[in-house]
Amino acid sequence: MKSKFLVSINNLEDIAEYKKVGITTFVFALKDYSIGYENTFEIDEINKVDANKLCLINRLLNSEEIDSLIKLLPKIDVMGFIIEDIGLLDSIKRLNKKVYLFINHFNCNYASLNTWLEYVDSVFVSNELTKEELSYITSKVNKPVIIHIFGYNQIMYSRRYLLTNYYKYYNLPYKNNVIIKDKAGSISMHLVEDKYGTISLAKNIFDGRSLLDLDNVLYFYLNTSFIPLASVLDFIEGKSILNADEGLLDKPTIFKLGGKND
Amino acid sequence: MIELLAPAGDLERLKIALLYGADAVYIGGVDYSLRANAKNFSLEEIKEACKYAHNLKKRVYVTVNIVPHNNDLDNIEEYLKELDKINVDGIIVSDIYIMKLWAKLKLQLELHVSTQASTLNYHTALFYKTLGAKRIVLAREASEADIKIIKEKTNLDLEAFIHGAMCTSFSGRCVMSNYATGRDSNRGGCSQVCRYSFNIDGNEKDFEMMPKDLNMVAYIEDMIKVGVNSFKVEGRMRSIYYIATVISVYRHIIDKIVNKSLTKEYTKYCLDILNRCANRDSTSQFFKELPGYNEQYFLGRNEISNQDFLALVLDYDEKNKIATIEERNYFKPGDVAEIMGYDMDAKEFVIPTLYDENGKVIDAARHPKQVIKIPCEIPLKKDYIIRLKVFDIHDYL
Repeated sequence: MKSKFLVSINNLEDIAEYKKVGITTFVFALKDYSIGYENTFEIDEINKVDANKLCLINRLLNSEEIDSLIKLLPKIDVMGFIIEDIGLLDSIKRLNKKVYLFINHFNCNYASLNTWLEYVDSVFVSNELTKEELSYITSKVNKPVIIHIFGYNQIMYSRRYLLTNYYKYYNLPYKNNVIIKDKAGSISMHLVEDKYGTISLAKNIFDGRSLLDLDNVLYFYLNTSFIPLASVLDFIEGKSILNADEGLLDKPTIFKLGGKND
Repeated sequence: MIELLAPAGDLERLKIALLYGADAVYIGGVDYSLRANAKNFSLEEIKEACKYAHNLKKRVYVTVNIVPHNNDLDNIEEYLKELDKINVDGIIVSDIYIMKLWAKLKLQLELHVSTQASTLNYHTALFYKTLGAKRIVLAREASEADIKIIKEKTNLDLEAFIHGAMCTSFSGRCVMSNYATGRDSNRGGCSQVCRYSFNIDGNEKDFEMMPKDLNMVAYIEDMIKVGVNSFKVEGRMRSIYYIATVISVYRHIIDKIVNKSLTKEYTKYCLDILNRCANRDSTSQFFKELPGYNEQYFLGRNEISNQDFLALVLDYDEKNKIATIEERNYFKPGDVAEIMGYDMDAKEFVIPTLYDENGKVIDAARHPKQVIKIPCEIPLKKDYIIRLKVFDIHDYL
């Protein structure tokens, strides 16, 4: 099972620890082209790692940025790329590398997934589904897909500098990676900002180990950002972890008030 | 091609939008649309909408832009065929399966890629072009430079938002509503958590992330120059007064740009009208530069309900010069109002003696929807609007 775990890397030193517990495939967020990850890596740093590697590029890019990136892609020594912006599709295919599509919050049904699977090697399924929906999807997809099982779920991606704006407006000292809570105290989330915008993450760590029995899964994804190595290792070893929940796995969302819902 | 594209939450709004100058409207069906709690259109109503619009040589686009879950796709094929059959001009889609289904079914209606797909670069736009897309609705984050290069490299029709509410996030890249309230934002259930006030790390000052509205009055000419074809106003749940006012303003702006008669003074007049009508601050957001703290709200906002919309004209008796109007907000004889017509410039109008339906004099119009008769020398037409006069064009000249 652990050979199917796909683990994002925060520090290069952690790789050795993960290898000791049987993890073989790692994700590296590419510097300047990814957002919402605890650490990002230069191409040279990624290339020096001796392991199965995937490069994560999850920013939405404008034309100038994507043209610059396309020139860099051949220099990145990895098995494949995880992308959010489908503008990268053709360029990566020309390199004969694997392409894994990761459009946050999209890909919530098997038909859409099967359509994307005509273009890419695999697709990350949305985090916002119930276990029942995920189970149905994995039973119907034409290729194995990628399922999140661990980490702070990303719940918002903004191009705005939400923290900088706040601290500037009130002339307060800047602080990053903060928790915000609504007045009633019922809603909490992390906010993380960098020069490409702001990401919001769920308050609790998503613990999706109940999904490990799903079939037709290429990788089970562990996004380790902002989580101590020890907690990640505990999860991998099947131990319980603090401040975790099952996200929306048992909470179907509604969308029509007083009308037809899912 | 330059198109002014208006939102319409129901048939009444659709008719008003088209009358007041929209070249096209976008509407949602009862299913598959991202404003799940708007009234929305049944297939019969969409058919009527198309008939009405096509008679005016105008167009109707239908949003099919939810991010569907497994069960949501059960009837999608039949739905698309029906939309095609009743002569909808285009569908606005974000989901890849629906795009491919459109191609497979060889539908006559156009495929437009929704802003939910967050298209910011020409490579992405070209991908959608290979799927058959005729038009891309750009990400709201697209800058002037982004739009220019996408147009140059793709020659696709480009649609961009010019007015209305903004998301804090990239469209579609937000599920705060799902986590906070259990309502799925990408299926039309957004509970607008981004408009809440938050405590941040124990600071006394509230954290807020709510953007001000978008307002592109000052940049329409620049948008035309970089290749925007369709100028889209947000707000399928807005009132007929809002739609009539906003569409009328942009219609005048676009026409004046085309015939080279737009002045800074007129633009300022338009800005004042729009700001009062929307009752929210507005900025150009991402078009010229990345937004900073001036482009969002802090300390909440003082929401004063706009009561400028006095009445809607139902009928006009040319022979006796008597208008039948329907009250929307309080007014009384002597109030200085303005007639806003869809085919005329605004004209000052002092409220005359008011009569109820039975011909009895009344001292004021107090009851919303009350039908009132007024003598009026200005020939009025059905669906003209009587509004409080706040700004005078002559003060700007």
